[in-house]
Amino acid sequence: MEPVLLKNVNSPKPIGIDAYNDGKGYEALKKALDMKPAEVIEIVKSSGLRGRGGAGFSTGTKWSFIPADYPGARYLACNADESEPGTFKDRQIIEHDPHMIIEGMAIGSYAIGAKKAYIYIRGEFVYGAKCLQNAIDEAYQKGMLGKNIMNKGFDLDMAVVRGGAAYVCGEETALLSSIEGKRGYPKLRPPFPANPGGGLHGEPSIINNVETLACVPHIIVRGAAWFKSIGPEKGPGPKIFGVSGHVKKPGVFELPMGTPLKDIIYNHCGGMLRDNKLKAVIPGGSSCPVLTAEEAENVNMDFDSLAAIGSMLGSGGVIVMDETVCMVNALYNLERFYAHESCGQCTPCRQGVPWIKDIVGRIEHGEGQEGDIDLLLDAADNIAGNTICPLGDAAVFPVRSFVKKFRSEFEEHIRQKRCPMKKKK
Amino acid sequence: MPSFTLNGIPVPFNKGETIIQAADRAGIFIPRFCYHPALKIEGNCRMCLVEIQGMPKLQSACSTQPRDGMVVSSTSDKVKKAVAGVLEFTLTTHPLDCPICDQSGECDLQDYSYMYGFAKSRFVFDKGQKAKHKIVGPTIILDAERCVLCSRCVRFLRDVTGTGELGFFKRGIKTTIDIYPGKPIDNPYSGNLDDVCPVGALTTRDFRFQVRAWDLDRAQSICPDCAAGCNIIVESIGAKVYKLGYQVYRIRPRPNTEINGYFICDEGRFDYQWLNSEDRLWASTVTHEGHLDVIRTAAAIARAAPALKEIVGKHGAAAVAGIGSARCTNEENFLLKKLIRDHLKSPHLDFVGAHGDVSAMEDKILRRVDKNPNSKGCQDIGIAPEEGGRDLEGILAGVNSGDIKALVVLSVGHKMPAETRGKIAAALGKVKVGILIDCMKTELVQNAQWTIAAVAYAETHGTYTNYAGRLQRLQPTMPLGGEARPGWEILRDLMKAMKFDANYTSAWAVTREMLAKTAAYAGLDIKDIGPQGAASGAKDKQAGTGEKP
Repeated sequence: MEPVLLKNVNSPKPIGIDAYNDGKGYEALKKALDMKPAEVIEIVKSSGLRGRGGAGFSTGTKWSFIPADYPGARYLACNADESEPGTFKDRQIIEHDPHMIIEGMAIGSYAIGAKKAYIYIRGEFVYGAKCLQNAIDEAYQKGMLGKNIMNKGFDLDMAVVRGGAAYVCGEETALLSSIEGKRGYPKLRPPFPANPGGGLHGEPSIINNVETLACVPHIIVRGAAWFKSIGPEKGPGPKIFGVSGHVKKPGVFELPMGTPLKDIIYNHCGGMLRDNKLKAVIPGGSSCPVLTAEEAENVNMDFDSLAAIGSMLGSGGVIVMDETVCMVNALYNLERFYAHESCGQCTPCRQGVPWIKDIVGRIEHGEGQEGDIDLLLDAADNIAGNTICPLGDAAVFPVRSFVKKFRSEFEEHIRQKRCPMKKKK
Repeated sequence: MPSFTLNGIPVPFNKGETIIQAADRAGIFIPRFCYHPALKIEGNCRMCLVEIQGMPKLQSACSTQPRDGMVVSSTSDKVKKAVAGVLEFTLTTHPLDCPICDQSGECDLQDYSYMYGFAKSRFVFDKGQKAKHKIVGPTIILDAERCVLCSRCVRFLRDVTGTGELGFFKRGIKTTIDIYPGKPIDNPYSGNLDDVCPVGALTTRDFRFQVRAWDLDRAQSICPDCAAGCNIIVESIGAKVYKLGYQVYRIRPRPNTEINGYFICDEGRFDYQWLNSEDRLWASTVTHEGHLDVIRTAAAIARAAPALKEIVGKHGAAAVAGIGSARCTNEENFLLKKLIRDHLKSPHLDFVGAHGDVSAMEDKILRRVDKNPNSKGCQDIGIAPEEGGRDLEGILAGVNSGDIKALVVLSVGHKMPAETRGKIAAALGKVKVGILIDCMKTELVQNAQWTIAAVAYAETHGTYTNYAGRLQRLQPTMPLGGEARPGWEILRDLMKAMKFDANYTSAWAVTREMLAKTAAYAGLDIKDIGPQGAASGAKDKQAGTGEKP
């Protein structure tokens, strides 16, 4: 497949506005501005584009939630707070082809009637923020942003907002709180961001992932049918997979949705590191339930295939683990991350996840006790679904899946009172 | 009215109400930390989770609006497990220092642990350390370890007082509330943080380590410190303190949506020390050749009455004057009026307090400029000179000129403006017969010929009328020791001793007559004065309804 999103990934510098789109500039935006907003939404809807941030919700449908007759302001926010462990795909677009995002945002803003759009970028992406800011400045100079864009009577202002380096701000309502200048606390839903009262400054707002918005210009130019022809029918399109872990050639790969995971690991990534045996794969960023080697070798990387075996495509950050990995230690690593990143707003996640971390740590350090595994699952049950935002769930999915699929390893830790994977001193 | 069922009981709701609000009105309790009826809904504690038929996840009752016909359960197994889980999680960082915690006995976390929690702890790790006993302002002390991070205090300071002194710091399990450096919580409503806080994280420095909450006796009363008429609870313990029968330890707000909502100001909250003071008048006195002699109250009344009558007999009714007080109850003032105007037929009557409109506000929340609780009541009852009679200035001038030879003064001496007090004290010293009915030792007592010891607002039955004309009842705490007696009893006995008709068996008998004889309270019955008081004025007459305190 000819790469679309990562076309310029080998360019040492971000593509400027003159070179953007092979020198053709913002042709998708031009085309979109000639259409009615409802038509743009209809095209995106019919393309079957689903959000690339993790939840996989239909982008066109999401846009259509903005009440068309709402009298006040609306906002579009691009979620560039890419901080899920194992995920590093948006960064490639931001640092190599920033105009693709800006054009996608402009089209999205036009579709939902927003006059102001924000790119909320992870605080650590200093270079990325510079790339985006330069690109926005260029776009203003060329009249692609600002007042009366391309003389089509559409006004749009765009700004880069740098986060304070908190994982939870990638959650859409926490992201809005953060843009508002508040503590990055997720908000209660309903009202949802697209509802009046729920979004940025209380106005209806749409939050889309970088990769989602980068797909939009291509859909407008090449048509919905082209997009639909790539990959499976439900949830088609090109998808960026970021593969890390025990493979020979880790990296980012733009592949059609539905590419077999086996193909990604053994073909695109050149196989397992040191030709070790595959043990487990986290298919879409750290919060997705883990897959065993057998499941991983038989699954296709698309929303529905992964959902069918109880996992998620998530963000497409594939973490490959070989036989040398201690699953208890891997889970401990993950839970340390979630305990550290819990925002502290609601009780189950704030108090429960550190406790889970402590229990897993105890098992890993050989201090586990009889009943710890059940305690772990029970605490996980008390968190799952009872929190304001999905961070609590994200912390709990790995616990449940690791214990379910690798329970014997946990039991072995408790029985031997040590980590069996560590060499005896 | 649409309704939903909660645990099988139909609960009607108004549009815009959430499940917990409708349930509260229906009297079904759903546990909560972060929800407070006077604050914005945040939904962060997850204690109020309920199961709603047709929804896969549990929903927070504080933030979910019910739909007609919805089936909700707060007692299903799933809810019970989740709530017990939240409590267990909360206790993973909460110290179990209930034995030394001031909140103990009135702590939501403690109560819920008994009601919904596990008896055993499964958490064996380090609970972590946060700031202990940090002084965060002149009135409030913070124990961050006890905090359940419900954000009620943050919202109170942000949305009610608008001062925003408290904020969240750090993240995750290390999250803590604190003040900003060098910016203590110093606002006139800071004491409410103690009540707003569901646990012992924020407590008042004033009440710290004083007594255990369960030892306190509570009396529903009305704040005597301004015209707002905020509802309060006077909390006390019976003890022989000096000559008093009890000691007051704390004053807390009592919810009254018609007046103060859920809060009171610090001025009212911390103004109780005088009730315990050594300067309380616990015995009547008589001035005898320049010094004070203690005398039984009954004897004082029995001897003052003929003296007063003698003046009337010798110099006529116009030689007597009465001075009421906007700090005394309607009943006391009413009886004073009855004595002076109806029985002795003197036209000279006025009161110390605010005249005219008393509704001016000191700030935008509760406090009123008029610092008397009952100026409106005095005005309504007509504590005013008859046509041709003398007002306060006139009475004082009359004393100086020798026209007025006897004075009956109702007062709460130490609360009277110093200038007025000086003048009245001088007048009391000048008249032939000066009768003072008071509860505190001031220079008034030195000067009055007869001082009859009365009890304070917290020890008597009676009513106050607030700035808006709302009548509210006072409930006494424990009886005062010594010889002090309720003001209405003193005035009744004084009248009886003068052979006037005054057969009141209780304060409420006085209230009944007062309501009947006062035009401003036309149509009001004593039964109308409920927990939220009763609005006077025929038009907006409204029985006290609503929640019980």
